[in-house]
Amino acid sequence: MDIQAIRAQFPILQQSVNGKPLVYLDNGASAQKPSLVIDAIKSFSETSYANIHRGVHTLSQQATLKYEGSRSRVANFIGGSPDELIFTSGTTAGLNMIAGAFRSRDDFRGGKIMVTSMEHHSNLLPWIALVKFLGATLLVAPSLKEGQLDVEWIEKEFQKGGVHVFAFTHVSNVFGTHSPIEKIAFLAQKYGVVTVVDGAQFVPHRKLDVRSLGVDFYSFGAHKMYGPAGVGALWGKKELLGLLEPWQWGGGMIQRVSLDNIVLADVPQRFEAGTPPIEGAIGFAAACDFIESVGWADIGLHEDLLMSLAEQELANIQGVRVLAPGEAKFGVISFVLNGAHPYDVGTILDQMGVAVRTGHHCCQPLMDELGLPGTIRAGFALYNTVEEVEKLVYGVKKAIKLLGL
Amino acid sequence: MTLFEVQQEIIEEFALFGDDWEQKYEHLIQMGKDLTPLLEAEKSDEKLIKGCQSKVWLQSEWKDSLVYFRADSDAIIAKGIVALVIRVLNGRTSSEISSSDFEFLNTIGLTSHLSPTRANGLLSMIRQMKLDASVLEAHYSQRK
Repeated sequence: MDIQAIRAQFPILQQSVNGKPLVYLDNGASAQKPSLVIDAIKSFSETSYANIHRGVHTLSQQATLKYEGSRSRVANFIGGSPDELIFTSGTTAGLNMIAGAFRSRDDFRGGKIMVTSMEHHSNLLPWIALVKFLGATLLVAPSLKEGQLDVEWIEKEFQKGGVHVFAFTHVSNVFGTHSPIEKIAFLAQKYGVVTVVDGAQFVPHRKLDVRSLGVDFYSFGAHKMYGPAGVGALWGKKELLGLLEPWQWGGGMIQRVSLDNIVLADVPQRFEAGTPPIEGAIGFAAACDFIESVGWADIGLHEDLLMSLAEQELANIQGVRVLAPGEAKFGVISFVLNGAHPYDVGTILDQMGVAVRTGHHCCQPLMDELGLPGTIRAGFALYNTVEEVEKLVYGVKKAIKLLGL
Repeated sequence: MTLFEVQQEIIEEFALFGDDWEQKYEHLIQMGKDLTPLLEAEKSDEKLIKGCQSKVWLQSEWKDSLVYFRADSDAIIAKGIVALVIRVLNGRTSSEISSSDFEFLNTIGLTSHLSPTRANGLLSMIRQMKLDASVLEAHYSQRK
C-alpha cells in the first residue's frame, strides 16, 4: 500500500495547523474525505441533482436512479440487499428509528431492554426513553474487564426471560475493543431477543458481512468511513423491517393516503419520510468505492501496524495508562496521563498540530464507572502514518514535560 | 492599576515569548499552579461553570463595594486561563466588570489557540463573573 499516494487523495490533510503539518487523529469522531467522494458529490450536484421519487421529468428520474444505485452500492458494501437498507441521517438516527418504532410494541410493556455499560449516548438514550415510555426495565450488561463484555451474564439474563431487545456496540468508541457479536447474536436468537447493533466504529476498519453475523438491525454512518456527514444507513432483516412501525411520517413514504386510511410504501421507502440526504447518499456510495479500491487486506494490515505501534509506544511512557491494555482494537486507543486532565494534554497536542479527541466521548456513565473525567483518544484511519504515531508519542512526552509531571 | 493597565501588562508579559508557544503555555501552567485553590468543600456543583470540558468552579465575593473572585479547575491549563481573567477582574466595581471586554486574549494569541468548545467554556466563565458581579451589587446595595 502506497501511503503517500493515498494521502495525496485527501486535500484537507495537506494543510498545517499552528504552523505544523496536520496530524489528524480524530478519525473516531469523523474521518476526512478523499477527492473521489468530494468529486462525486460535486459532479452529481452539477449534472444530476433533483428531488427523487416524485418527478416525471428526466432529471428527477436520473437522480432517483443514482440515489437507488447508491442504496444498492452501500447494501453490497455490507453484504446486504438494497431492500433491507434504509438511508438515515446517521448512526444515531437509525438507532432512534428502531427504539422509536418499538414504542408501539405493547408486548414489550413491563419487560426488559438490555444495553451495555460502554454504549455511546446515541445507543443508550433512545433506549432509556423507550423504557420510560413503556414502563419497562433497563438492564446494563457489565464488562469482565475494560472493553470485554461478560457474555455469561448476558446469557443468564436472557435465560431468565423477559428481555425483548439487546442494543450493543460492535466496537467501543472509548476502548476500540469489539463485542463477540456472532456469539451474542446466536444467544439472542436462541432466547428470542431482538439485537440492535451500533456499527459506527466498525465499518471503516473491517469488511462487514452483516448477514453472517446473525443480528437483526445494524446502524452506521458515512462520515466515519470517508463519506459525508448527515447520511447513514440502517440495515435490518427484511421480515423484521416489514413488521416495524414507521417512526417518522411525511412525503415519499406512502402508496395512497386518504384522511381515514394510509397505505404505506414498501420497505425501505416507508422509512424515508421527507426528502432524504440525496447528495449524501451519492457520497456514501463513493466512500464505499474508495475503501474497496484501497482494499480490506491492506487496510487491516496497515491499521493494525499503526495501532499496535501506538499502543506499545504509549504504554512505554512513564505515567501513561492505555485503556483495555493488550486487547485487540479497531480504530481508537484511549489513554490517560497520571496527574493530568485530558483537556491539558489535548491542548498541548493541538499546539503541535496533533488533533486528538479528549473528554467523555459521549459515554458519561462509562466514565463514571471508570472514575475518570475523560480520556485522550487517538483515532486512526487508513491514511495515517508511522511518522504520525511517532509525533503523537513525542507530543505526549512534551505534555508531560510542560505540565511538570 | 486600571483594568486596561492590567491587560496591557499581560500583553507585554506574553510579548516576551514571541512565537514560542511552549514558553507561553509554561507561563500559563505556572499561573494555574500559583492560583490559590478552593477548599474541597467549596467545589460544589452550584459553583460549576457550564460549557467547560474541564471542571471550573467559581466563587464570587463582595467586599467594600468591590467584587473578588476565587476559582479552581481540575485542568491546569484551564486554571491558568482562569487565573489570567481573575487578575484582570479582581477587586473591581460591578460596572467595571460588566463593561470589560477580553479582546486582549486575542492579542496574546490565546483565543485563537482555544478551540470553539474550549473558548465557549472561557466565555461562559466570563459571563458568569459578570452575572455574579451584578447580582452581588444588587444584593448589597438593596441592604444599604
